[in-house]
Amino acid sequence: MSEACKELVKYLQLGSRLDLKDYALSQVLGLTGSEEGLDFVIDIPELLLSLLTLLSDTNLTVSKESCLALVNISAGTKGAAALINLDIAKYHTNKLVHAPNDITKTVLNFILNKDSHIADPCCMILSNISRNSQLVEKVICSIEESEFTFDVIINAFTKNKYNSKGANLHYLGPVLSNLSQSPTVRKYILDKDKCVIQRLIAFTEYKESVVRRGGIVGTLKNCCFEADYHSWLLSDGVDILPKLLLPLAGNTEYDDEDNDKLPAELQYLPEDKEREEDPDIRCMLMEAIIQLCAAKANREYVRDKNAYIILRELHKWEKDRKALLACENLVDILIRTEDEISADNLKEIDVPEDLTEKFHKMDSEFLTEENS
Amino acid sequence: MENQPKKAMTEEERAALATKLDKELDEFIANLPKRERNNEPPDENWLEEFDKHPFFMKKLPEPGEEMHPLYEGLQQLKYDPNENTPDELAISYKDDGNFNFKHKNYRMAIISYSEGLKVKCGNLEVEATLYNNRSACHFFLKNYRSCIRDCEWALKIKPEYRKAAARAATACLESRRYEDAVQFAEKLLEMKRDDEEALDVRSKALAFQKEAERDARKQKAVEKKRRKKESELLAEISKRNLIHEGGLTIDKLKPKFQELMEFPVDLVDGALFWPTVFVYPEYQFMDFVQEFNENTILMEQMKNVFEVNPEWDVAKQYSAQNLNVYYESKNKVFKVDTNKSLGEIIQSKDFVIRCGTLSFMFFPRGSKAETDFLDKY
Repeated sequence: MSEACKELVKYLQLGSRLDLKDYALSQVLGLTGSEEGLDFVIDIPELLLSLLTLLSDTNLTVSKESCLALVNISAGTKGAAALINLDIAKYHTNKLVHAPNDITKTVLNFILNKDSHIADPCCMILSNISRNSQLVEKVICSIEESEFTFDVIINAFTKNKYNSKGANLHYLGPVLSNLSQSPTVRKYILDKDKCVIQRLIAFTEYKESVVRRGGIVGTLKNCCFEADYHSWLLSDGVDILPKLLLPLAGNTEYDDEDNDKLPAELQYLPEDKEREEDPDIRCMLMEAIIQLCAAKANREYVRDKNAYIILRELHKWEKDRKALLACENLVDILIRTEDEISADNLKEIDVPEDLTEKFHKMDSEFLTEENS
Repeated sequence: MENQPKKAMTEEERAALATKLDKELDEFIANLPKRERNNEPPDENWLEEFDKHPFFMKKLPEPGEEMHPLYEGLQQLKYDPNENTPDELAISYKDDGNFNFKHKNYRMAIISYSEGLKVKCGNLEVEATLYNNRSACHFFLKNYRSCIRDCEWALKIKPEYRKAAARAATACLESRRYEDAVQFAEKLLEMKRDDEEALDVRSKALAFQKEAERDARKQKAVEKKRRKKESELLAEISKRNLIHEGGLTIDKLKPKFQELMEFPVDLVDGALFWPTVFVYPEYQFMDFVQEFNENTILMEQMKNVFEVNPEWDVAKQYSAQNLNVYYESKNKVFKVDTNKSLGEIIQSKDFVIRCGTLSFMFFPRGSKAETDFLDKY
């Protein structure tokens, strides 16, 4: 580490003079704004460690700025990996203070502290470091080692105004979505004896934050890959289907026969009903439903609930190529009779390699078409 | 001692011994100190006195009733703030309340618990229990609002009070406060992850809520449709420049005749269908045409109506071709050209529609009734 760096790190300690600390911190924050700056910072473990430590600084500006710097650093995979793999024991030299916890435990502490001023940016950090599929298991391990349970995290997320300083913890949505990449976390969310997923599905129509909404839908989509839970998810115990269809539904009036088959939540939608505005979220919703249609019985259930008419209307309205493709795939499954499908479980069909390639090619052509 | 074999008692000796023992016993009893015997018969009202005694009373004394001094004394002991600490007092009232509760005297129990709370003993456990128990009373009396309020008080004092939260959740469910029911259920689930009862209340509340919301939306949609239909109807009527007494509103268009009440003017595929009365002043009879299409020629309708001769038509004069048709308006009478359609006829600026109903008078051509009628104008 160069002399200049050593100086910098010296000022970035909890006990340092405030004005010097402030100045050094704003320099570092500025660095994290550029590619080269980021590369520079990421390669200095002592610097990362001091940023981590400064989160606990009593001065609000200091803690906020170090938090923002860490948000920038953790945004990319390289930075996230550097933070997760930081060898704290090795680089912590100041014997007067406790070594900080690892990044996961540290930010979790602030997130779950009702009076923390940096809860929201800490959620962003957590969301960043959990994004990569290689790193997420380490994050999960760290959470499991910590004093916090997933229960507590879900509670904080679902409770209105958990934080007293105005943090809304919306970024816990993407955190959950990232964590649900792991089968352990999915099993926790899908625990039939608890009330976890039931509380999450309420957020698919959460207008106030696209981040929270997107995170939840991502989580649900991942959970829908657990085929064993499909029947339960569609049953009254969870009743996930209406919640997935509602954001896809517009204000169309249907005739009585069609209307009566729909779930209660989808009947008589008001004139001002708007569809989900984010096409990626629309895609994920449809992908989740497609997953749920794997087994024959569940396909028939979804068909009986007249999901088709919702998607038919969506298809007329949809402009995004990716979403249109997902829509057509889903409609395809719903519209064909069971004889045509002639397979009990779509997931068990073996698709020959050359056909898989061909289908992928067709999909990407469709997506890049100029004309519809 | 001599070893003499014992002689067996003879019968006589045994009898003598028995008598002797009896006599000794009598003498002994006679010599016991005597107690003063009250030889008067018992007080006539002894039963009443008996019932009033606090140890033997079968029911609580009514307020205002004379109280046995012993009872009063006991009460004072129990409720005197000088004799008891606030805690003891409050617990006393609590116990009273519980006693009444057990015997399903919910209102009395509420009074007891309320007294206990008035003490303000400061013991949080006791106060929370008082609120909780009172809420149970309200629950059984179906005073759900009071029940929930008391539960909330209990939870304010003891946030982890599961019983109170559970009761609040159920009370909300019963009184259709579904959102609140879900809130309480989720609070319960925060305390205990796998609380089955809470899960059940939550899913029930959500199910009811979904249905209630759907029903509300349906109501709105039906309302909207109705209003749209009405405004379309009014638009069509005013398009034809028809004159309606009292103005053109849905209310005013309601027919007054019982036979026509279910058939107010209707718009079907762009054509208006009018409730119409055919009046026969000669015989004081009326016919009702419930849905008279404005595009139908009057003569055609008359042929329909008079296809069969009415029974009151003794002179057999009322057949379609034999009748003159009139309508009354602004104290004048107007003859109708029966070869015109209904719509054309009523479009005349002389025709005034009343109560959304069209009215025509029929007379046999050249009859005396007709002449008499026309003379009046």
